[in-house]
Amino acid sequence: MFDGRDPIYVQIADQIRQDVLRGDLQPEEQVMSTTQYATTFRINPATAAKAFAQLVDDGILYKRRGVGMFVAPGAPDRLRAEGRETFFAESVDPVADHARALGIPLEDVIARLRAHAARTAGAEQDGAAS
Amino acid sequence: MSAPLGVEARGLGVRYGRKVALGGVDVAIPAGSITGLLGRNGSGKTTLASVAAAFRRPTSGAVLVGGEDPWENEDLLPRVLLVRESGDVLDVETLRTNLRFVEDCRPAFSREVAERLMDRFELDPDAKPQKLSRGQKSAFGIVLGIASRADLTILDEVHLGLDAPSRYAFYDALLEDYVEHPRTIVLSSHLIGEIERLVEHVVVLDHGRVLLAQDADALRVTGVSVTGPAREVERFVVGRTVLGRQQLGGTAQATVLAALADGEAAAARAAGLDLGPVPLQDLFVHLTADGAADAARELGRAR
Amino acid sequence: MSATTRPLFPARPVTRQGPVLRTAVSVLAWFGQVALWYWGIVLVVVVALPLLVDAFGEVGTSTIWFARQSGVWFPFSVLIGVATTYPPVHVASGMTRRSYVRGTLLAVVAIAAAFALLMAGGLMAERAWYGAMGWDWSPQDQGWFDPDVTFGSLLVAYLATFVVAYVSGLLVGTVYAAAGGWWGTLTLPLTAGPSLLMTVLVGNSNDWVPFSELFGSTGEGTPLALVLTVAAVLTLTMAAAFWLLATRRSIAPRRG
Repeated sequence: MFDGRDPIYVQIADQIRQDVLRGDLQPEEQVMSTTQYATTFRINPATAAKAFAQLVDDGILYKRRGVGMFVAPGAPDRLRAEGRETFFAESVDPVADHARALGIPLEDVIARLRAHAARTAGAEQDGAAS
Repeated sequence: MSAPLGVEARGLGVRYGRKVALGGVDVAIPAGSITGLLGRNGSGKTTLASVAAAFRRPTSGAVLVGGEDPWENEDLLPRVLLVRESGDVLDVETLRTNLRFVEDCRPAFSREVAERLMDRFELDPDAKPQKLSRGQKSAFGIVLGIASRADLTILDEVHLGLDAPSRYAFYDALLEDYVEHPRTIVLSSHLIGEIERLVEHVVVLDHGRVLLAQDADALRVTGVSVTGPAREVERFVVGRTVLGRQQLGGTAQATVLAALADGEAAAARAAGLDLGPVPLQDLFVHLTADGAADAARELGRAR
Repeated sequence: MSATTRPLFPARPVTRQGPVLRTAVSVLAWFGQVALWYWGIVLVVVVALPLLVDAFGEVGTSTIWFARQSGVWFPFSVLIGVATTYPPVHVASGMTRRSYVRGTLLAVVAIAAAFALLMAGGLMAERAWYGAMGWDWSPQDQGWFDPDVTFGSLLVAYLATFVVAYVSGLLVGTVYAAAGGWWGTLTLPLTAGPSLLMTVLVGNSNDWVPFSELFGSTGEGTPLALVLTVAAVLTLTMAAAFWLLATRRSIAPRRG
């Protein structure tokens, strides 16, 4: 955990964003305090606090004085909207570039994406059934 | 009265006879931070710690702790603690007697913390220090180091002889108590991989000089490891400071000092290069290898 | 979870003494443990020896007076140990060297007073016991103590001897620890010499050290006033040297 190339506080913030996006953290749900987070993951508390401060600035979390920090009501939508932007810019565009470089028609790429999505959906249904 | 104490060295020089242990060191350790004090053996870490804790006087220059000279400073010293690897305890008295002695000397000492840690490290309060194993001695030093809650706590190689589970118990205990009772903690260790996420600030000494002193997160991201086709790697490293290089067949890996802009990273990936982090430990090894002082200066500029 | 069933400490209030007093009390507590052994052995010897001698011959000389030498050199050597091993612990516990010097000097004077009291009192008790048994009582080397010596002058003479000896012990240990074995040994005449001088001065016989004549005394040994003057000068000089060395001493890394 936290062994990416980004500063650790960025990685912590990303981790929490992912949790919110996946629904592991629901709106209005209380999140770990920075001190709990620091001791649980053996991270410097100042580093953890920096990550949480960034999330508060970005409107993903909000503080309730004396109680703790909570996921903001609109956080998932906000993250999805932001995620959409960066997804196309950082993930889709390079795929298109790469495909062109390799001479793969865009239709093949799309077909592949559809097949993959169908497989994943099927697996999820199986998982839900069992 | 009780607030974290920062450390500031100004032109600090220490000589042992003709040997220069510290040569004009200027460095600051921020109050309230956990700072990693790193350096190879003989780099001057223990000497810097010794002057800050008034174990010895500087030959030239000064160290200020909380803005004051610690030497013979009776108001300040009860709030300053240096736990040395060798341990400074009453050898012929039991651990219990030692704890009582320290409790009397340290205004912020917590008996509860001491009891909890004695249990966690399975130390017998009736044992005498001279009968303890290397690891048990270290563990007892850690108990004193954490339970004393000194506003400046310097732990110098206190992990020696401890196995991995005990070391992690130490890190956990340190963080837990630090969170509850903020203080300045200086952690000197060779196990950089284990402490790199605990520290907020890093000071690296080399041959009695400060190689660098900066935010740990900032330091980590100044190194990039690049892996990919040898030709592309060569192209990538042009004009950058290369700390290390390895090649296996057509694939090469290089460790480079560089803070990459977003575009640069994307371009590198498009060229088939893998970008990875450089563990602080590797960065440290590269920086303190002989002849690496230039790279360190470069790093100072890169910021 | 818990490795020990009994509490680490019995409940007790934390004593927030000043560092000087804390140091003195600690040194006295450690010293007290070994001193108990010492006095136990002295008591056994002092009682058993005359009885043993009486069985085979005639009891004539005081055993306690002979034990004076051990009262000088036993604490002397223990204090060398204190001065070499304790200062790193003191400094590491967040106290100043000043408080160490003041505290140990305070403790040393207290130890000297206790030893002088016990020795002088013991000598008196021994004299009374010998008298009751019908034995002759006399100090074995005929110094300025005659068999009628008073408790007061005994006490003062002992106190002077012991204070010098114990400060000397601290000084010897400090020089060894601060400057190493070579200097420690080379300076022994200066650091341990005063202690030796005092035992000679207090226990001299006329033909040995002619101080008394020098000072115009007609008595048989060193005048008490001279003993006290010399003791005061030696104590102050050595205490000053101890202060100068111990308040500047670096705590070097130790091995092990």
